[in-house]
Amino acid sequence: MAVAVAEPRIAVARRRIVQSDRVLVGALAGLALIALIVVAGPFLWHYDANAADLTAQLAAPSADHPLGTDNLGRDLLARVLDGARTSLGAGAVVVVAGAVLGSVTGLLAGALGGMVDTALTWLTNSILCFPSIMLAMAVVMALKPGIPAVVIGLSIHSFPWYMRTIRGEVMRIAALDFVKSTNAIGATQGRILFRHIFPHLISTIVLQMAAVFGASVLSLAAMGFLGMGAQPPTAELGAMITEGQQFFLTGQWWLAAFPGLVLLIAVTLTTIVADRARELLDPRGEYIVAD
Amino acid sequence: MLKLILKRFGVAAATILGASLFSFFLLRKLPGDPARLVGGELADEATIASLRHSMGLDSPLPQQFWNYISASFHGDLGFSYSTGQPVSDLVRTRLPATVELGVTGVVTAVLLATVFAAIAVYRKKRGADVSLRVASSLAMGSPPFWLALVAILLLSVNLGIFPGPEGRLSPSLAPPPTVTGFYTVDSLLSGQFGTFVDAARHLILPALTIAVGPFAFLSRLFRSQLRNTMREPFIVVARSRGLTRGSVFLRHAVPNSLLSLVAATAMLTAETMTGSVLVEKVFGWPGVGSMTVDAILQKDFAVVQGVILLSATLYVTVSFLADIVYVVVDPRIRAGAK
Repeated sequence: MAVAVAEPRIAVARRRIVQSDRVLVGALAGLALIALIVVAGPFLWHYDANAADLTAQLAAPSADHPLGTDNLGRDLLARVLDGARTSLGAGAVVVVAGAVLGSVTGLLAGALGGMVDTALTWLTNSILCFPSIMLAMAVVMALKPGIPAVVIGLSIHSFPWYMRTIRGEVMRIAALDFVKSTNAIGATQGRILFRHIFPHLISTIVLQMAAVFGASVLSLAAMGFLGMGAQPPTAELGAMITEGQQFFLTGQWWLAAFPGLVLLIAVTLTTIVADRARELLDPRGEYIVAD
Repeated sequence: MLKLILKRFGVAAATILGASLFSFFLLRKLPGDPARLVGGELADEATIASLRHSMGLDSPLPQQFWNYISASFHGDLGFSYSTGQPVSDLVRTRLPATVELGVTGVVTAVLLATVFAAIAVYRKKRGADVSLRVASSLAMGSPPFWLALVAILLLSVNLGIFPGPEGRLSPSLAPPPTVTGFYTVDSLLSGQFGTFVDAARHLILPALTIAVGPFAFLSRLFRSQLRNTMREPFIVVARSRGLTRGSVFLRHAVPNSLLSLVAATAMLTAETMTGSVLVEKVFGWPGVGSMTVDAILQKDFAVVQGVILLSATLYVTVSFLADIVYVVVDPRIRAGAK
């Protein structure tokens, strides 16, 4: 056990992931595969997402069109690939924007305290009492329907979560002995914050990003579904479900089924990864305690 | 204790003020002139100017905000130009449908989550636990509006178990006389049993769809809370005094873990508002959510602002009440505050 104590937490976690957590490895592999397919989509599949073929309208899944075609005869596989790129890409933008904004405000609130802390906490409390979709809808109304407005709205809604956890962590770590001793040997406040405290926050931030990603992708799709996100002819998974809705109940189930299934798989895998990673990295998590 | 409650109340009030400030200025940044939207494209400048005056749009922004806040304290949320009705009337007619749906959904979620999490933790074999984790991961990952569509296709269209997306009642039935605004309750109060069955059948599918997200969240939370409680020293002590595992579990572990659900359930009220916007849209449920979607697409800013203020107030009030419950029920929090 003496060896394990000297080993950094991340390294212990990495060793344990590979040794024991097949679920996590499987989920990560699945996500990596999705990312690869989504990025390489246009090279893998020869149909164009926006090429209408009026001789092949609403065709059921077949060898030529594995997921069928839509009411304009566009190949659904190509559109799902395109749509997944839009949805997952926009979700990634929300995650990064929220993380940057949340880290900066969290560091400021945690390190400065006082008025800055009070003001930022008030602001984030006020933002958090809106449901995420409500906030996104308000931004859409103030700007115009489309993915940029939705991304702005969801980023505003996601940064308070980062800010809260980071603020708490900064305050906790700043009270630890190693920070006090760094201060005693004359390090500046800025150096302590960025060289000594920030590295300890990275696992917290990454966990938060994983949790935000799944929720953001679903909210983006929801906004697309309501007609306030992606505008036609942009392929986006939520908007594609809306387009397929009218045909769904008349027998052309594939139009709405496949985009939803892709959302389901991607978000479920993210949730599993976020969950497992939390158990491995969070010092209060059960795996670490059991060690 | 009173001091603590007053402090929490102050925070809650400040939060609502912040939320209304935020929504007010966001919506005042609206491109286009609200007076022009009300007056229409063809109205001349003089009409627009008088509209601007009567809507209070020509006074300075802080003044406008003050007018808005003081009016909303009197229950006046402004005027919806797209429907020609006061926003408060619109909300009053729509709110019972949303509350009936939301409450049924959240209660279903809480019940299912506690029962299944308790079974998963109590059973020593891993099967139950693994199935709960799989189920909650899938529930967390599924888009609610898509799930609603699939449920309608399978259970309504193909199997005919539930009615299709036609709102709260079959078109042939008249709503029961209004007492609470909840069709299921009102129909029972007036003794219309047939209407009750119909209203309940219309309620089940949307409520279950709404329950999926909260179920995923609550079952995870309750599961980990129960597992932690089972490791507490007082559980070991109770067992060492000869109580059976079952009785320790039901009489000590479960009650002590249930408290953690209070705050989470409060938080889920806001989540449910989000969920209901989508589910109402799919099921044609005539609630606040579907009204909001229509209002946004028609740029009816008074309605949107009213709904935003309402949902923020609801969220803050519920989490304030949850805080109070903790302070009253859990002596450890009172001790910590001194």
